Amino acid sequence: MNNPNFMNGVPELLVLRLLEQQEMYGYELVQAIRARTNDAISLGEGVVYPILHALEQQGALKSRRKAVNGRTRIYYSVTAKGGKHLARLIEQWSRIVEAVTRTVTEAPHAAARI
Amino acid sequence: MPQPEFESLRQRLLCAGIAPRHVDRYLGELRDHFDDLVREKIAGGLDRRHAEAEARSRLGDESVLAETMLEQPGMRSLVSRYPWAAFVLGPIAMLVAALAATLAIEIAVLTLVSQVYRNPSHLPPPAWFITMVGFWNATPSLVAPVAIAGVVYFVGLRQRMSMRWVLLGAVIACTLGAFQQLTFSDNGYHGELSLVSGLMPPFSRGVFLEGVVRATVNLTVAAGFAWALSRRGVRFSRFSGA
Repeated sequence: MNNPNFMNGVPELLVLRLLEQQEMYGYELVQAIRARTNDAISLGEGVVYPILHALEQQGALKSRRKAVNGRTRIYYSVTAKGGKHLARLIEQWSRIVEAVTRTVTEAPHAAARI
Repeated sequence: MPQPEFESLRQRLLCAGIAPRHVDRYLGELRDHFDDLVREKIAGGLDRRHAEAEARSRLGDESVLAETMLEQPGMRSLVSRYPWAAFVLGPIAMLVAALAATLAIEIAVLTLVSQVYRNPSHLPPPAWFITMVGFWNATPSLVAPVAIAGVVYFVGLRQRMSMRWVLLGAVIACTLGAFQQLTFSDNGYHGELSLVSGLMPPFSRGVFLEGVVRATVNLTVAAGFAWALSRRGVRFSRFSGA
């Protein structure tokens, strides 16, 4: 999926959810998104960084530099504020999914009555 | 990704007002990500050329990478958001600070020297000292304005600001600074430190004309510095609306 209308807010949700479980650097995070979504969500992988930077600036993420195999990586993890933000995003997402699912699975005659 | 592509992304982001520190970090992470992708593809059996092509495609189109950064709130630098503060108020504040620092240092030195030379016999300080103080007094009107113009160039270049803002800042520093005149005199009985401005009452034709001469010197030096930068290939953003 790469339709921007459907993707609004989704990368932020996925990033926070995955980083809540484990501290990761950008490349690791993108691979985790690909693996968890079975490649259903395809974005330019580089776009994850502006999202990470913006979340960090909002206080939802924190970062630290760590040397791994001779290379310095920037690892991101979720803050307490980010955890609360994630809970709100999950709640909003669940409501949207529920509403859309109800609409698309509704019987045609029921939809006609609306 | 070849370096020129990142360079064009850098130019694009800086010209759009993204803070240099965010740009540096973004490009650094993109480079690392690109390297990781290339390694992954080579490990998967691709040759380097195909691995780089695949990595470039996975990283995303430059316009998408730029747009995503530009959409994020809070990434623009203060200089690009408030250029009037950086290039109008900034030079004025720096001139005031330079003047205050010059005065503070001079008063401290004169106080110290007066302890040595005036007590108990009230001897005048030696001529070389008076000459040195005269040179020092040129700091807020000749040295500081040109140095501040240099700071303005540096900030403007780093943020790829419009040339008109950079020139405005440099001209403000060079002219306003030039009209401040700090003098010290000592006739052997008492020393006097005075500060007058050619732009403030009481207006003195002599002080004003001296200010014009100093402003001309400052602007010539600052223009020479800008010319030297342009000879080295450094360019301001001529067409940016920022």
